[in-house]
Amino acid sequence: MNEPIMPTPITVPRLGWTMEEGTFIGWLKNNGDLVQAGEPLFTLEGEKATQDIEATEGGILQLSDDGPKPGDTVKVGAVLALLLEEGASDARHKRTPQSAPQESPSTSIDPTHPEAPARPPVPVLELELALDAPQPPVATVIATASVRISPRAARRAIAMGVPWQDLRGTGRTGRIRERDVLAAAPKATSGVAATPNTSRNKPASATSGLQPQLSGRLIPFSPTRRAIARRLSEATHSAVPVTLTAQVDATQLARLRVQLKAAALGTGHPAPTFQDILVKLATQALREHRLLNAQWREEGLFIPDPINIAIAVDTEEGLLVPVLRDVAQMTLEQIAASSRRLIELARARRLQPGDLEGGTFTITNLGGLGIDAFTPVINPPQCAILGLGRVQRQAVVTGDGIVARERMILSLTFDHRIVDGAPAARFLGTLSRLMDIA
Amino acid sequence: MRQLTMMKATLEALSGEMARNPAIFVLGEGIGKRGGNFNTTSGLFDFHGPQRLRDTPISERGFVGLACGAAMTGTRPVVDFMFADFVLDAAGEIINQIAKIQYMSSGRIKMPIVLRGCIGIGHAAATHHSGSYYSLYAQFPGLRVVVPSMPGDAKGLLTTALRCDDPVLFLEHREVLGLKGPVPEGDHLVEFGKASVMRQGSDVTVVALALMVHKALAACDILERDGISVELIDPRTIAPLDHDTILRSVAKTGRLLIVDEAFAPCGIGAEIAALVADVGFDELDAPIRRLNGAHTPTPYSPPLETAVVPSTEIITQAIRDLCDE
Repeated sequence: MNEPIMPTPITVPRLGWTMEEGTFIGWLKNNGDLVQAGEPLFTLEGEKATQDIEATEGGILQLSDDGPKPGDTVKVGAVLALLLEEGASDARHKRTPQSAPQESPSTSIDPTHPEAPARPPVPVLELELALDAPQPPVATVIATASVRISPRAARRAIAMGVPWQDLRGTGRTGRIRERDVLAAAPKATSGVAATPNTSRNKPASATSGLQPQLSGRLIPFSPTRRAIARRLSEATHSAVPVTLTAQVDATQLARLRVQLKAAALGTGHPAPTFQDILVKLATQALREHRLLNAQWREEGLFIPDPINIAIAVDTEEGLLVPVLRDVAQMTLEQIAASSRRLIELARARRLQPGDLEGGTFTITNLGGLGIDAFTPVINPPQCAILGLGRVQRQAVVTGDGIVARERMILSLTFDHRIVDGAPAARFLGTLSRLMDIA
Repeated sequence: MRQLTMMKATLEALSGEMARNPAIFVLGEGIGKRGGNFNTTSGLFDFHGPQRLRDTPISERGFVGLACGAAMTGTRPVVDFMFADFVLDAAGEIINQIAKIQYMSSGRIKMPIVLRGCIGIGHAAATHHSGSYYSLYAQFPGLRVVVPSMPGDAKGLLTTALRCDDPVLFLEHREVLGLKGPVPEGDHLVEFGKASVMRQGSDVTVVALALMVHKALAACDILERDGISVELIDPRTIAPLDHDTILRSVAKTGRLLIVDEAFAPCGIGAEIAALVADVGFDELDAPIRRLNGAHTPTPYSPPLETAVVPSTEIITQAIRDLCDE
């Protein structure tokens, strides 16, 4: 008897530890193409990086009409399409992954096998709203959302005024359950759950006045934006951030940069930037002040061996923070080259997950945007982040005279749990001194 | 309270009612001097003699028709079938005559018959001695269907049956006949259509019948240790069925599993599921689930026989799965 040849499902891989879903960017093969194992098959955007995903098996790619569209949010493990064995009739596989038989809610556990209750495979693909193109008004979005929710949870959500369309269900098949609604309900309203109408009789509170029935459109968060929000929230909730600012003299730095520019002429390489020079100097300062390079962990204070400087890069999609590794071993030219490469990759959305991991200290630069001083937010689990302000020519009193000097403000935010104010100030002092003798 | 087996508890009910009401008499195979295959009439022959404990030949349709006529004349026959499988041989008399005569006579004729027999799988009794037919009888108007799981309930329900003017199918699971439980002394009545809440719980409602009540109780104990709080309901009678208790419980827990040794298709589990899906839909936080015996003639082979009945382990897992939905 010929066993039917099973198609291989193409699923969404996990690109990072915490990845639950990603954005499907597009197929790199066409429907019906013969795909070899190892060939890039589709492009997927994870939390911070976009990657081409290779086929793990060979076969004929069978896309379905209702498969994911570019821009769709797809859950890790979701089936995107099928790979058929060469020569297999695709008539048998006309059914799309989404229309695969689902476990009917009223299906009894298979009575013919009571010792092994039947568990049909759970269809994991749950395409959320098509988020691209013209955005319908919020009310329409709600009406068309294909979010699954139990009747009980739906009733509860309506009674409590919880917008359940945004909730993530914890049911086995992703169904929103009552507990998910209760967990999402604002604390204040949970007490009046049974009597939702009472609020109508009360004078409008200050908060209700802030949430009128506004018309507008809802722009869903991209995975990048969600990842940024989560990390920054973590940072402000767990760390005890304190920011010190110091005005320092950058005249010597400016001179150095002029020399470097001159030296770079004709080499084909751009000169190192202000930021590159400060990465180099900050690394030297960190070698003297290891606590600023340390990390708070539950089991104790962790002091990494290398100094890996993360550099904040502003991209169209949002902030990305690729990491320069073991900077203490790098020359200024190497720093400049690596930094340039990472920034280009970030802007092109081609960073690999590994490019974003392992930072021990972060430098962020708003000087180019005309900002003098600011309060950078720590990139957990790191201890500190250095913000570079605008370099400006200023009148400075030296002795009895006034001279023109290049000045800038350094903004250092550090985790006060790890390091106290005075040592952090001394780090800035060291950095300032290094800038003078650079 | 004293502990009696279900066998002793129902014998006490029958004995008490026979002493109280001379219109009651018992018909069946081996229920006279022998005292019944399952001791259902043990010792009664010595008290009441052959007039009230009438042994019959193996002719179910004959003696059920006889009982129907006797009931029409004002007596209260108890037909003891030994195994409920053979009630089927008298199905025409029961469904066409006994169930309909009160309606046909505009209530002028009463039909106070108790039809009792053993149901359930166990002891390698094979497929002619293992059936559970309560759902079948519950489908017909005019019949009351009692499926006790506890000795105390069995006494109270049989007493109610013996005082009831409607025909009652009293179906006793053979594997619980020997189980002991507290049984009230003296007059004890349990109303039809009142479920028993065996365990109070908040996470999931389990409705179970007969032997499955005992297996579900064991599952409750296991799950309680893991912090899963099960509300266990024994309907005790499926016609009439206590809708309120089931719906109230599902309103509390949002989850329902029906555990029934009998076949799933068109069974009491389907009936309860339909009830809750209809009236209790908005209370549901998960799909309704049923757990039934395998849809197959009961095998004789002991390991196969064990495999077709929901076990405590399977019930426990089914409850866990439902809580994860």
